[in-house]
Amino acid sequence: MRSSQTLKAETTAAARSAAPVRPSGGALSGGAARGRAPKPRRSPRQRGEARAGYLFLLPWFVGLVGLVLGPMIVSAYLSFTEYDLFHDPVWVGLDNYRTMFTDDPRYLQSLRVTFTYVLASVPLRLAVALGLALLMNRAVRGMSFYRAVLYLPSLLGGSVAIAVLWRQLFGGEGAVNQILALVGIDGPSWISSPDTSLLTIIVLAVWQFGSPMVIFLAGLRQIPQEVLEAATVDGAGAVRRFFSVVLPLLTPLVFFNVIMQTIVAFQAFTPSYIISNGTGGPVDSTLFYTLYLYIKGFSEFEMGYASAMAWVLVAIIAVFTAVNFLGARRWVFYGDQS
Amino acid sequence: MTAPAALRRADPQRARAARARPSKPPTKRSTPLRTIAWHGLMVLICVVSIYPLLWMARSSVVPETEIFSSPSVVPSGIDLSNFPAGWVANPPGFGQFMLNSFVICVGAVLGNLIACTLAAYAFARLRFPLKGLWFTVMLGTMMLPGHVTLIPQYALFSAIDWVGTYLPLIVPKFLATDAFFIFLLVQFMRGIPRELDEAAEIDGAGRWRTFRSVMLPLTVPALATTAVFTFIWTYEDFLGPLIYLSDLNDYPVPLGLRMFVNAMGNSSYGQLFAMSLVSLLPVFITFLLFQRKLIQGIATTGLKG
Amino acid sequence: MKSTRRTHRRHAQMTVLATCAALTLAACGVGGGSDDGGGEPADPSAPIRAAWWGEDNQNQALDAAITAFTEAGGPDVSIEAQPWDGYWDKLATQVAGRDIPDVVMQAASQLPTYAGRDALLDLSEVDLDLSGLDEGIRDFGAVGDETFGVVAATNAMGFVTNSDLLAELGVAAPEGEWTWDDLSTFANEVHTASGGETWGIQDGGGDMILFILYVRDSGREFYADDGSINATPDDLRAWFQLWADMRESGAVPPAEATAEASGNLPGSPLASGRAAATFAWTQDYVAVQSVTDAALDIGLPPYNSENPSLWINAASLWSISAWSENPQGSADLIDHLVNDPEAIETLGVSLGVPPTAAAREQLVDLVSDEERPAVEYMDLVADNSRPLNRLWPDGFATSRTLFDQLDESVAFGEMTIDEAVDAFFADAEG
Repeated sequence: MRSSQTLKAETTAAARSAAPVRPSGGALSGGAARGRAPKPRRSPRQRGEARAGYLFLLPWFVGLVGLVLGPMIVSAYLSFTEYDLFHDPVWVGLDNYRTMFTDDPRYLQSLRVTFTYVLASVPLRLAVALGLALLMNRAVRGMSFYRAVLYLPSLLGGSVAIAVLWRQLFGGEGAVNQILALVGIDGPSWISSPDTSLLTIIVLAVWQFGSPMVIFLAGLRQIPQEVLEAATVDGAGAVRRFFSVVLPLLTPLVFFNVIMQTIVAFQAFTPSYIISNGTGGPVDSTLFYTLYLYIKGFSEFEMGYASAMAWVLVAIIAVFTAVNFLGARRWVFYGDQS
Repeated sequence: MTAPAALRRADPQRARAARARPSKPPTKRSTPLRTIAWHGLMVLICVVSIYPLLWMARSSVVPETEIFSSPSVVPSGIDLSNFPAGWVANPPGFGQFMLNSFVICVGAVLGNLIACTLAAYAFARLRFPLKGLWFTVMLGTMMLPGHVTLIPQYALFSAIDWVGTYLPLIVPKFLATDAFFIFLLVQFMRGIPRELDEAAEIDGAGRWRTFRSVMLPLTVPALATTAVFTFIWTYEDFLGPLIYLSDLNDYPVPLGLRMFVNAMGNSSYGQLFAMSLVSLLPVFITFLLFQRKLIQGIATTGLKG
Repeated sequence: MKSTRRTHRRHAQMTVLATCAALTLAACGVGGGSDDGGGEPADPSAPIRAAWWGEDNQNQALDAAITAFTEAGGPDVSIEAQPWDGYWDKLATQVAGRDIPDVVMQAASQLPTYAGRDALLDLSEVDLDLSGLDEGIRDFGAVGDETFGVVAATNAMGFVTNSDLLAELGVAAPEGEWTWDDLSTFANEVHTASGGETWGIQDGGGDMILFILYVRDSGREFYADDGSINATPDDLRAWFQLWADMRESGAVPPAEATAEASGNLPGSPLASGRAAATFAWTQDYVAVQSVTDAALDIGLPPYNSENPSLWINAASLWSISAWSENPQGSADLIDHLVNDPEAIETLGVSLGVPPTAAAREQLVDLVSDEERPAVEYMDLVADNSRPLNRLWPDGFATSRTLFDQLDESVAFGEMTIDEAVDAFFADAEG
């Protein structure tokens, strides 16, 4: 009882002052390197820990050196060349990078499309995923069935069937317009009008909310029952419980989902590939960055240019990720902080 | 915001117990009315989100010429012939494709579970030089779109004669190249209070034993997540198998499904839909089962708090 | 002391990185000279790999024909079949890995790209009898003086009409000699007769093949013999205007409806009975007929006997990899598929209409009722066509894509016709 009293005081205090929690470590260190000043000499225990660390990382190192770094370095090299796959690459310095920003309107269009997509689909998808995860975080008969059913759309992934389904839904005489017709609205052909085609792909992204939802659910499972009960005893309502207890404990996973979904959204390829039939049309309205990269590399055989595009994308994603990590100091709470 | 931290400060003993205790989903003292409303809401959400799939199911049992004529999910009649026809079309047939997919998926799941967990533990719990750098590198490897590393990677696998086998699809998983899962597991592990493994270490357990007997059991939900995602994403991967496999007998499901759609001519949409449904079944069932595991997992790890 | 140690370690790391990058680069064929595979004496019984795109019945037919080839003493053949979509991605990757199959199916639009970049073998280097192929069709595999492909099957563009619908509306399909202006009259007539319910014809403004027919209709060629574009900006302006006018009047579907149907044959206006006609390749005609109950007819596109604009086209070709270790065995396989009577019977018209008169004669009684109109149409084309002056130049595929994009921009009002015309010729010259 005493402890729940203490808790009450602390919880409410915490709820009042939204005191930011500082995740430990450097911005990109995953909080792991604790900013400890390097000591001239390591104790045997530390040496043991270091050795263990590298041992645990061994498979990853082998993969990194053997399978990942090589291809990455090659692609970095290719980005400074003209490479048509058939002949040896020819060094052209920064030409590819220059062309991108000065002489390629389709490239700029692909940037616009991709930014719109990222900024719209990531928050929406995460909000839907979190909302449904909360709705489903209860012990009810048939729960696992609901969950599995809601995951079904994500199982379809990039299946060829989606192209057909989406036309059927968002075409001029599709299901959406037939419903709109009931209330007297004469909708356009959503999927093939340049103004709305990107929207249908955003809807597709939101519809496939399964993976972030599952991650949120797994996170909700980790929240100790006592904390919630204590908060309830304290008289915190559902909303207060969510904002002062559940959400803070969930922040590492919210953070993870934001980072990952942003990366995934920047690299989104399959949705526009299957829905626009690989063209990015109509009128380039769904020309995603990686789709254009792919067209350049594999249809027009400009692999050097495609590689340069890839590295600009890396830079863009890296900036977004770094900003996220910096921002994370203010709102992400880790259980391993002492 | 700091409630949990405060909690621990107030009573570390209790916090530890709370963490370790099975976290059951909140059983609300809800009224029947609320439960019914909840079910109603869930059913509604489910129907809306699987409408396209229902339409697909309907389209798999109606004649080809009728498929695109109606958005209805109710078939005008039921003709199941697309199922047996689709099953044996494109020899060696859909059964073989599903078996192949299964083999690749099992390899990939094992690989990711082992390799990513090891790496994640190091990043989440151990202190070693250059850790920040390696963590950044790990994140960095996720940022390069796969299409440009495809060609150098192909060249690499071709040079060691792995093209045409499942090795390029499976071995990388054993080398933790799926940084997504390392990062996911790191985030989960960092959510686990340090007191638990510190206690084990004080009891004299080595790194390996702490990892195996303290960390692993506590990470079960995350491991289940990793397994499920790896399975599903491997199952639906198209580009990897397309590039590395050439023999029809080795094809997994997505390549098999593509055979029904021919941009240059005849497409068998009815059969495509029928087989799409069939191909969803194993993943759906896996998911259904693992969902239970995911829930029970943490409840039955039986930590003596 | 400490710093030197760290530098040392950094050196070691760099070395490791550099080594692994170098390995990958070398494996890529990047940096070093690519090896040409030649050198060692070719063994005509060494196993070969054959790749094509296609659907089930085509795969099975080729499979059977190839099995017979091996059983008759040919080398072992491993088969790599893909649908069209994935086929080219995979081939591009294999090119980079210098690893393409010995026998590769090629498209007329892609052949110049692969041949022009030394990925395919000049067929004069192997022993292969092409005398059975139709005149004109033989040249389809030629780039300059060299031959890089043997036509596997032929097709042609046709004017497809929904005869049930036309009968109902009381509109007659154009016959005999007719012009592109007649097309517009016909399409508007359908639109009016249906009370605005039906479009006359599907939008073909973005199809560069049709524009090529349009140019050839006046007796000129689209490409000059050197591969530069011979058509004029005025031609293109008139072409875009022709379709813009029809879109305007309702004779042709609006841009949204066209975009919605792209790549979706069963949802196309013709298949769903919302348009009375379309231009289509022979194989697409067969495909649309299979998804609609209405009776479809195929006839010549706008035609004048003085300058027949139509040509018999290569639906697909067989080529041999420049890196093949068994070129003669590969050539034998191609010879078997094209000339062997048993193989011809096995393949039927699964690939399209065969390129040799002998094969067509042999198949006359064997084609099914669905396939017959297409085969008969090819006979009609044979009598009313004029071979292209040259094979597509390198860059044809890119021009064709651009053409479609520009037409779409015009249709959606994102570009004026003049802008589109300028953009097309700017690209062609740049």
